[in-house]
Amino acid sequence: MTTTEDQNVQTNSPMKAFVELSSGLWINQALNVAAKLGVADFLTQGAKSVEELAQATETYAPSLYRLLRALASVGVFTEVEPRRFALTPVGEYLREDNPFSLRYQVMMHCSECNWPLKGEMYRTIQDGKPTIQHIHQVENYMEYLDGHPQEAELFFRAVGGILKNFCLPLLEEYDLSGFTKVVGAAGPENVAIGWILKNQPTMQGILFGPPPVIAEAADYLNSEGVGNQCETVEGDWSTSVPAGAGLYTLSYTMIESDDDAALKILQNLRGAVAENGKVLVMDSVIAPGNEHDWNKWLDLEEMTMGNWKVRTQEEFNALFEKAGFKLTRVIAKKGETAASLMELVPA
Amino acid sequence: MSNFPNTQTQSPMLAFVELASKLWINHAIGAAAKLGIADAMSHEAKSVEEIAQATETHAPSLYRLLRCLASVGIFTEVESHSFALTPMAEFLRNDHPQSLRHLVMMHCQPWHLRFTGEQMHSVKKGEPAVKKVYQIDALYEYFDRDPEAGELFNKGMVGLTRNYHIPLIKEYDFSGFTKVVDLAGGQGGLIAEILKANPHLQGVLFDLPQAIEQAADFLAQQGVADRCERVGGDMFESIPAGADLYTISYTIIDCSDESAIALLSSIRRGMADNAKLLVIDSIVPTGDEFHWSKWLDLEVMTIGKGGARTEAEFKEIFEKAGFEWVRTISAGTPVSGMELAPVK
Repeated sequence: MTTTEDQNVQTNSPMKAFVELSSGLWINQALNVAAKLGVADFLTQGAKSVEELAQATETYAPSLYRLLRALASVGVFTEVEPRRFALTPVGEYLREDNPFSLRYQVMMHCSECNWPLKGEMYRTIQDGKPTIQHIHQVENYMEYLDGHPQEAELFFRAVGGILKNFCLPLLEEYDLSGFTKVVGAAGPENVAIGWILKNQPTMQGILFGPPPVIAEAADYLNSEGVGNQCETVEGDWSTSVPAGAGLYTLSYTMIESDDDAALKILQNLRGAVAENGKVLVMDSVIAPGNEHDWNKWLDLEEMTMGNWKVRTQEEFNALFEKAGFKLTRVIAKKGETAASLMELVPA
Repeated sequence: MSNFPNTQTQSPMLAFVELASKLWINHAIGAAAKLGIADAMSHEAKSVEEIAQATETHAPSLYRLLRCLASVGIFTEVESHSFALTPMAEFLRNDHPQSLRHLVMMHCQPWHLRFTGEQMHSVKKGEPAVKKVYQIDALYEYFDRDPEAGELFNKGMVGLTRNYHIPLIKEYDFSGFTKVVDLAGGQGGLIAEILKANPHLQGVLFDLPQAIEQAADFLAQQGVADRCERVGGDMFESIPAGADLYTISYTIIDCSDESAIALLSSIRRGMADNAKLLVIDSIVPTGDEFHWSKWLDLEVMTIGKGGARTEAEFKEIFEKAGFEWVRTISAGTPVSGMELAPVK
């Protein structure tokens, strides 16, 4: 993917490019402030003046102007005439009422836990231990979230938004006809299973997971109008998986598992899937070489927040093989989603 | 629009996702800076294990960091698990004359993250975030209680401005001048570069008495001590007379309009009618164009009462202080040189 940074080096001197990359904090925080203020939600009816926006968001107009001007320079807003701003296609993702909103993603990256923590990343490079273990004396972010319900809420909303954006374009490319039953993980996969069942009205589903997320999963399925097509079942993927379905989905579960845990889940899946069944693993796969790939950066996030990682295709293949699966197909849509869909069949 | 994010090769959604995770890049560079990674590398490929040993780091984690930085042009993975320096990586080296190592380390310090994380406060209340976090009016007051932070900040600024000043000095014609006074010159970074590039010039470094105290060694080290006088004082009161050129770099940006006009008026009073004033600062372009100064402006908003200005905003304060804006010099960096002449 040619992006941003590659181009930066091409059109900028190395010094300017370096300084810009070293100012990423400012960009990220500005986007966070815009997300928290809900500025984008006041622009759905068209452009507004800074004064109108300041009144709506209860902010100080001259400062808000400086924020919006900066964000307009990276394509989040556009200054249509002096001191009047409108939304852009990028800025649409800040909206609360956009079904594909990523508002909570940026708020999560700048959260009370995350903002100061990333400054201590060097500790992980020194000793290989997740930064969160150094700072909060917890095993990983999940354990931190157990004690911080507000941050947990933010996290689940953020991840819900990301998975929807990343996984649905891949499922659209996959032929779901011929399957009668699908099993997915409650929580992260609510969106995927909900989408599959909506598109395949004769299909039945099971969302499977621990008690706290099961209740929410049921609510979500009802809100999507597919509650009658889907059961919710309590359980733990690392102990057993409901057997006998033709299709299983596993979205962004591998990424938050170390190799041992990932293998255990895959082995359980291998035991559960019908002989002619399929497993769809949707996850980030790291591009080789010096290519710019957002997934490489996501890997740093994983590295600081737990014994987690983003894998290369080779690393995935080794796990699949060990668990008794064969990789039959990879769907990736470069430039459209950062995720890949990997189709597995029992070996 | 700017060259980033690129929505030609990726969807608006992915462009958003990249912007929403820009801080990862910033902190990865910060970690590499802090750990001195670039100093343990060279233009020949070195294995991750070798680099990890030299920097006392954990090789598998270091690999993940280097892989990321290589994807944005800082370092390059020459062969599997072997990395070399790139032109951008040079700026991470401690011993590089234009090192930006301290700048990025400064950005990632806890004391810096505390108030940048409170940008919301500045947008809501119109007052610096440092007020909320440290109960102070401007960041420099914080350095009284944390001198180490102040030292890192200064090193960062010296590194950054050196990168901005050198190309500008090359572009500006100093041949008609004999004596230059750098106002608010701090440690002497700018005056030293001007004097080195222009052997015919005499210089004066002017700043608060305690600031110029520390500059003696630096000026000697740069080989310009014999051509550079150090004068202490308060530039809002008076400035040294008798020079034909005055310079002031990245100072107006930290001033409110009111204090910028007061400062410029004081300079105007102190200089001869045929002398010139060169204001070195960022000019914020209008419209949606990407320009680093728009982001610097947000930092400035959190640390004090100043702000980055547009051309029209500069023009207004220059006029009010009795100056005519003669011309603008740019050198492909985010700063410009604005040459002013006193209105007679």
